[in-house]
Amino acid sequence: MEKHSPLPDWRSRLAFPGIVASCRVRLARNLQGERFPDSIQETEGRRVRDRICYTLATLKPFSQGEIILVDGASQSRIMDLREAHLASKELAERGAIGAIAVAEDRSMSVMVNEEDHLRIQVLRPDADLQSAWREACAIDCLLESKLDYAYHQTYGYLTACPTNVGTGLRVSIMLHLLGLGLTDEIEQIFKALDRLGFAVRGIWGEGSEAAGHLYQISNQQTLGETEQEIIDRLYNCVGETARQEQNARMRLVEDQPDVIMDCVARALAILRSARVLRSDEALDLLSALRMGVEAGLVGNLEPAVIDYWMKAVLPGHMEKLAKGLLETRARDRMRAELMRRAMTEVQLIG
Amino acid sequence: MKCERCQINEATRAVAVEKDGHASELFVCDNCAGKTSRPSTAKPAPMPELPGPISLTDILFSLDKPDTSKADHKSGRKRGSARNNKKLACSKCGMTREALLETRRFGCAKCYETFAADVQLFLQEMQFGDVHVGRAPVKAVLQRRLADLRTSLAEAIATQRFDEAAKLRDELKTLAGEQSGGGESPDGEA
Repeated sequence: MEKHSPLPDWRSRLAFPGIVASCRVRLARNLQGERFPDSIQETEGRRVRDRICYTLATLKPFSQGEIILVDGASQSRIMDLREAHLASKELAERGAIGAIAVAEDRSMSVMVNEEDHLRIQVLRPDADLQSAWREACAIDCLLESKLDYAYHQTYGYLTACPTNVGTGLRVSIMLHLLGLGLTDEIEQIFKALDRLGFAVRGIWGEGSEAAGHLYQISNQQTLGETEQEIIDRLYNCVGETARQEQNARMRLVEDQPDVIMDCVARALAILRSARVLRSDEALDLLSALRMGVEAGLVGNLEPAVIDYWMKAVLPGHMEKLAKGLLETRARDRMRAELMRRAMTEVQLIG
Repeated sequence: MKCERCQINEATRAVAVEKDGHASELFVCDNCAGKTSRPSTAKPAPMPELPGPISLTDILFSLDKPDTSKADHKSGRKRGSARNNKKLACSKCGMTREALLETRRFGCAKCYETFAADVQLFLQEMQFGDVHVGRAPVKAVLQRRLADLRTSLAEAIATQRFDEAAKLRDELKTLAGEQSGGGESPDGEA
């Protein structure tokens, strides 16, 4: 078999409604002759930040978007960017030297002085990793013509952590894997993915717990394969994982309808009645409801509405709605109230 | 009587199972007998590297996969000569080898040269290969090409192949001009 052969029709392999939530491409780059952000002095760091931000401001996606300095942004602003997966926790802690450029449609961002000088990110609400890669590559080429990257003829793009050296490319697809969770097969899948060189992480990336049965699957290796080979391998594995999730859901609906119905009914009952609701709990419950909708067990509710709520129940969005900072308890009460209202018309079928 | 497991076929035999901590019997068909006849009191076997009964894992493993056993083998390697000289420091950023081994993060691009032996060990542990095969900055590609041309030119002159040397010199001149010219594309700029 030919190694790393691209799939002829990967879209259809991944076209499982409700399983693929989103995808992301990230490129790590550093400037030649400058210390990496972890070792940089504040003055030097600010100089690097300003130089990169100035360059980013000349590029179309960001000149029409916004460039935000971490030390000049409010806590809720940073939280909002984190919940949109545009900024990371590490960037939020960079204070005086960190910045982020965000495209107007929020599909692209460049983090400045995070672990590396530049972290170019493209996000998409589907599995079209190929398009995301093309967009990231286009921005990378433009930046490369204006900034000198730290590049080594043997090791490729040099990064602060050796896990990113080479292509500097991290590609990930977020999947909703409730079916495999209910059939207790998910650990097997994760083990297999790990053996194949893929990392499985929770919704917030490295070190995060799974919430809402959402998992990010990404490549662990960045050196020794071309960018296309990395993308093709991820497509292969994610396609198989999504297929297994679909099979697990079908088995549940056909063989154990009571299990799936119980899971969905409990989720709806809690969302309708709870007075205090944590964000991770809300995500888990909405996740169960989403599967119920896809299985035809829930009426008066569209998958797109659940997707909206899965974002809206996060702390930053709650504060946006409240137009101000909220204490955790107040957020949990507000979230419960919103869910009670949102679920009024929702019905269980069968 | 229908099989108590699949609820489809007729039950043909009874098998012993454990239910709620007590020994019990289950009436099953021939197909399901194999699935339930294993003494359930036994503790589950530790997870094999390639789990047998679940085909999804087999499917995942049947994918075109890289040789991860190589990576496993590599991670077991000892650190050899690189174990010494923990005081070695990068002249550009001051990163010490001790700090590098602890954090596994480099301080600057020069660290990759200063700690070359450690770089190799890190790459053996963490990566599929130790040579970059992906895309490269245009400037780096040009530099590589210029270096190759200079070598070829020196060889051509040394062996008195002057016609070839003249062609190489012209090519070198054109490329050097491209490098100093930049060749930026205005697309996408504001």
